Amino acid sequence: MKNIGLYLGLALAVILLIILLVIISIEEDGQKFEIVADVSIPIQLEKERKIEFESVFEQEVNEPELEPAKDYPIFMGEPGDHPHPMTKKHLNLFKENENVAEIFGALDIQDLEKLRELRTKYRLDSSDKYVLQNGLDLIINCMTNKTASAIYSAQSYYDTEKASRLRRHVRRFCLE
Amino acid sequence: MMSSIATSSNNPSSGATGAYKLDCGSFGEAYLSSGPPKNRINYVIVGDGYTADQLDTLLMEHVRKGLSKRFGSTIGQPFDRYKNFINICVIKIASPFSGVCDDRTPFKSCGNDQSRLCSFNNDAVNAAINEYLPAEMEVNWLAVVLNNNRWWNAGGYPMCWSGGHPDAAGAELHEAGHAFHQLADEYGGTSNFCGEFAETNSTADKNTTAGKWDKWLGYNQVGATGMQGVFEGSRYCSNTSGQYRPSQNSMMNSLFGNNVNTSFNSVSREQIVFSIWRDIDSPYDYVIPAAGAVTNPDQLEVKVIDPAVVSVDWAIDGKVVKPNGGQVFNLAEQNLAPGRYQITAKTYDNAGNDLVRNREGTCPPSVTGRYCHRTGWLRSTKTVTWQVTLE
Repeated sequence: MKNIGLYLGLALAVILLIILLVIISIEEDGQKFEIVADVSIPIQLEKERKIEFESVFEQEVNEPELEPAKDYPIFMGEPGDHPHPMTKKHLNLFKENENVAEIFGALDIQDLEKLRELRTKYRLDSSDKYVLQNGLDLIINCMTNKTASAIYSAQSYYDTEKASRLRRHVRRFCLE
Repeated sequence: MMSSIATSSNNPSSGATGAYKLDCGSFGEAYLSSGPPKNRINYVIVGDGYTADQLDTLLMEHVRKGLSKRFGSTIGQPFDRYKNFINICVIKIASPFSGVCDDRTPFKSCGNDQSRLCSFNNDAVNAAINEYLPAEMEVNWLAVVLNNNRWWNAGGYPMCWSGGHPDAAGAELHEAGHAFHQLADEYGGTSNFCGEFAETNSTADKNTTAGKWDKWLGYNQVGATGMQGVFEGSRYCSNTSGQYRPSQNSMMNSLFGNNVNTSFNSVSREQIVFSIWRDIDSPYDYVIPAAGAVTNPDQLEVKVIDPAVVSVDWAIDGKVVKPNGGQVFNLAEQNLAPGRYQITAKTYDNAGNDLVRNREGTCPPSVTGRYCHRTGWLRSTKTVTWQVTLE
């Protein structure tokens, strides 16, 4: 009898743990889409496509290092020298630049399908310190169905996310 | 609409004296004031590691030095041509500590002598922009300048550079080439990760350049990077790996010194033009009277961003009557009889073939699906139409 009680206790603990994990998972998804008032693009789309891309980001780009590097002479550079070596961080920066350039290119010709694909890719690849993901969500919503709530959300983004490079595009696609 | 980089004695740092007064907020200074932010490239520079008494002196000196090749120099072309397309704000946040690599500075910037990269706290920069920049400023380009003299620079977004290094002006242009124009480094290395990438100035195809700069092959960019061709060694790939760049030297190769061969080559200049137009809404700021139906106007006017760059062809009922006719169209000069006419003003970038050769606005197959900046050129032409009734 003693063992049965122990087993039941363990089973109950496992069930509680599973419930807790499910709740956390739902909350994380909710946070990703919290400012999108009109989610006309099914969230499932992103989940399905996640497997198509492999993130190249192993570390945050541009996180402060606070390494004064006192032991090195200042690199002065002579004609013929090259400005910087190739490092993992450089590759990360260029990957981010490429992703953003792709998004702007797709916006140029209003390629909605490609924008949806790039949104998924960008979510995986980027540290997104400049909230482009949310801006892209809004633009896609406006291109799909420019409802009053989509415009409201876009206006809110435009008013608050002044550092975003997509702010001008949010204006073009949602507010004009 | 002229813009200027002021050296007014009333303002020891810079300040803009052009006709348009750019508002950079209470913590900002307009360094280059060209026009309404909604129809300009807005370049915002934040300083880090400058004490309160250095904001108007050392910070502005670093900014002025950092931008000294961008404007007023062959090396910075085509930015001189497009200067009136660009606004520049400098955001001045005082640091209790002079210099960087200290937790007390507003953006906690620092760097690394091995990677030669600078770094900073993105969230703090983002917060400062949100807090201090006026709502009408739409940020297109963003940079952090460090109060530091080491060779720490980075071409991410925001880009960053060390303001006190002797070659800071080259760093500012080079890193902007990465950050704002998606240009690759045009030098070799030991990488095996080679092939056809989205960057327009690197190719693995020496015969066709994969459609990236075939129209520039054999062009001699006199007074700058010289003959445009295919030169082995690019994007860190070894000099025997079959990765090519468009010119022997360039801003994206070895930027050091003041030799004109450190200019942007033709492929990069064209790309810069495309990326400027990508962010511009329209070749003109406004028209008088508004487009549409109008009765008995004396004249029609299109206020273009810069009449030296944007031309206007005026046409009546489809027939061009005043090619490159300026911003104002005087109807009395046309001796038109009473009636109804459709008058159009086609505004367009008058860049010659020495600057732009890929005018179709389409990407080469090698980057199709990954997109390119050429589509930005489509924004460089716009036509205004009036239905004019003369009584």
